[in-house]
Amino acid sequence: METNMYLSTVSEGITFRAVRETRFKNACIGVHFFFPLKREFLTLNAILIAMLRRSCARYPEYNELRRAHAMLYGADSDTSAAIIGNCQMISVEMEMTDDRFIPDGECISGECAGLLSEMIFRPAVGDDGGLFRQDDLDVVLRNAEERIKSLIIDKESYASHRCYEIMCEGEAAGLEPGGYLEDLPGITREALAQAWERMLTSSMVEIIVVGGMDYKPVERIFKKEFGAITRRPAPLPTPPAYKEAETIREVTERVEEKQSRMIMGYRLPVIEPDDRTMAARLMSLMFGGGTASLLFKHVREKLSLCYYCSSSYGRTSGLLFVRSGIDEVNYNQAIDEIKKQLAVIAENAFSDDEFNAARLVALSAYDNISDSVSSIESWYANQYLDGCVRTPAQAAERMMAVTREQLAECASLARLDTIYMLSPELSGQSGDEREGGEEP
Amino acid sequence: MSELTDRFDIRYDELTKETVYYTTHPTGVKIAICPKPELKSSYAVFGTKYGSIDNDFSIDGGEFLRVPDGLAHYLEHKLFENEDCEAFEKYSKIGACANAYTGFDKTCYLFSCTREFEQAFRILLDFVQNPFFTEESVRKEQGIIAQEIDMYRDNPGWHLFFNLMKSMYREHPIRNDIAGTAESIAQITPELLYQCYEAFYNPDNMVLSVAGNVDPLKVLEMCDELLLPKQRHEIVSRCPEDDGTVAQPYVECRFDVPMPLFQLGFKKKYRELTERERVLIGIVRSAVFGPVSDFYTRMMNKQLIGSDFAPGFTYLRGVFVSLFQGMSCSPEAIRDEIFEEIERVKRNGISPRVFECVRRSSYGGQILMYNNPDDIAENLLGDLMTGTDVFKGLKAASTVTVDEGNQVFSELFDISNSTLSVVRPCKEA
Repeated sequence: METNMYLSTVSEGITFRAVRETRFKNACIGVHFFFPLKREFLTLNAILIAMLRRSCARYPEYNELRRAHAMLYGADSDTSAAIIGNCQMISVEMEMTDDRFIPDGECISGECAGLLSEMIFRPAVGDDGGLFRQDDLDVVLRNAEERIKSLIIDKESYASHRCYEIMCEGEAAGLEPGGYLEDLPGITREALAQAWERMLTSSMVEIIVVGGMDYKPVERIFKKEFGAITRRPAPLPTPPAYKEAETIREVTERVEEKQSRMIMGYRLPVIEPDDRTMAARLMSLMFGGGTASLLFKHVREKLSLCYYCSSSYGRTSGLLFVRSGIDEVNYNQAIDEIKKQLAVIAENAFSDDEFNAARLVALSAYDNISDSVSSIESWYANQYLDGCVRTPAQAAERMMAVTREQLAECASLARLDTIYMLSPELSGQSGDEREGGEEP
Repeated sequence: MSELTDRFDIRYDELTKETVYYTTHPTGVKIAICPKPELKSSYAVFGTKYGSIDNDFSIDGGEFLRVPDGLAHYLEHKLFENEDCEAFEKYSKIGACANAYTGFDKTCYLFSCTREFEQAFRILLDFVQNPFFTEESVRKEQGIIAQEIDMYRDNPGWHLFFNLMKSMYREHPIRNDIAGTAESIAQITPELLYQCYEAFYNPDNMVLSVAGNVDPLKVLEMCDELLLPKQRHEIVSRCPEDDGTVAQPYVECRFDVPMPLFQLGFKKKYRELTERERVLIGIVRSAVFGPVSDFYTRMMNKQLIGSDFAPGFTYLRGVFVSLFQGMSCSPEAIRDEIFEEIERVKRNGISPRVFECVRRSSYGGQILMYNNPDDIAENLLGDLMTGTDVFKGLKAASTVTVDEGNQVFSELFDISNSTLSVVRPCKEA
């Protein structure tokens, strides 16, 4: 395997990372902008990044921009907005076929990087000469409105979204990365132009290239573009502090559906850069990370209570969620069993087989990261705020050093905060809320 | 090398630089292997040409047997459990990630791993070939599958699709949910499961594909050791005759959605397609209706579609439907616009420039299908089941012309043979 990492500084607060990988038939370039999370800019930034995918000065019409991608043998660009700890990350990424597989010796990687930079640095211009086109903004706002309103369609995601909102009200983790409906009418071309300016001048930036392509021309393009900008990058805040769960809140909301979705939200005082995040991740894997997990084995297979029951842990928030689809009549039984399995871990009463299975699942996940350009790219982007960047192999090594006792300690620190149920409607009832439960 | 050439039909492709090893095992199982030694991961999938539409069949010329809907899917769930230990548990001990799925016309068991491939492969071949069903275990599964059925029924997309199929096909079993209904699965017994297993899990009906960090000869040695010779059966699975016309042109239901969802289907009488035709169908759909098209931009600007608008294709034994789906404030208006565009393109042809853009994009997509073990193994599995030659799609994407595209397009859409399925909001003004 040929892996070679190159790291340089493009401009103040801008790093360029190239991971040379010749094992794949594709390559990718990601440009990630990091800001301190501010509620007033959250939706605006999410709309801004979507606008960059819509058009650019060279290709002001959406279909022309898509055709430019298609001509580059199906190069594909995408944009996204995410919340990591107390920061907002907005990204533009492009994946392309590696030059070695393009017919007649044509080399497209330089053109792809050029197209990506056009999209970022030269937005389309309106008839009045101002940045961005109103037509595009109308479409992007309408798409955002439809996307936000459509959250209810996927009941599983909707339940998860509602649980975050209720449990983390007033916290970074409770904010919606894609933005809010009520902010959309206030977004104007002028506001977008200011946001674009802020993105280029005051965000911290990481540019990541993964693949077999020559990364030097890509670096040159971004050095030239950013070199022409006066930058004043804003320092990024530290991750959020742990917030103790005071009481257990139980919330049931009712919609037209057949199956109930239950989310149990726990809080752990284990948040980056805490050394125990590895142990917490392994704990979550053993608890509910797939078919080898205790939740799958007991809640689904032994008790037949659900089709799915899984857990996930966020290392930058310290939140642990258990998600399952159950019949409402099994509510108490499912909760009891989930709590029981967490207690098994906290009491260090799990078997060696279960511990080893979780370790192997973790190892496999790290190995898989190295097997695709997009996962390698995301791996480094998501570590940007950690202060310490590791390769997947180094992270795997750390995880293998986690002991049973460390894993048990993490489980014992988990405090149940909220139980959220999205359930079928009953006649004459639309929702209820109970507060004041007891700690497990 | 000679052992390799003795035992395999070896295909090398210059464009992708990939080699695929083919053989039909003495037991009858068709095998394809694509080694990727440069990767850490491997993926194997063992499948049978048996899905939810195979609910009426005869074995070796015997009488036809009509089984409850959802049986193939139920069998898939139960096969994971054998007499000594559940397969999931065995996989978990070696860190492999396992799954299975049942479609309309196939059932597949798969795993991916980054180490201990041999052990994982043994588990796969062992549990798929050794069924063990009891009254108690069959009954126990009903709770899990009932939850799965409820989960699908909470999805408006599920209603949209099955309403469309029910309106386009009067009798074909594509009308029925793959998982069945609470009532149909209640009729499933261990005897029925064994009967269907015996019929459809016989080696002549099965295919195996492997891709990733594997040695083809080693894989074949394990197949020699583990594939069980079984009595071969001649299976006839029948689907009711279909005259190729839709049953009704419009269907709707109501659901908790913010705005109407639609699927517009164009039905054709089923016939077998060549790989070249399939590639062309993909290209012309995108060229005329995809994001590169003038139509897409025009409809966006008219606010008749959102970013989720996409053309699609449902094609399997007895079923041939080209469809469009998305959200729209007026499904009828977007249907009429699609009709107009079809007539316009039939008259004027597809823009050669846009066709060339999408052809190149299709070429890139075909190359990337040989990038990771999951995609490779799943594609090889599909090729083995349909008898398609590997790399043909790539060759087609390299050479297809706009004239061929126009020919395919003109045959694909018959406006008089279409159905619009709509899911409307419960609380529509």
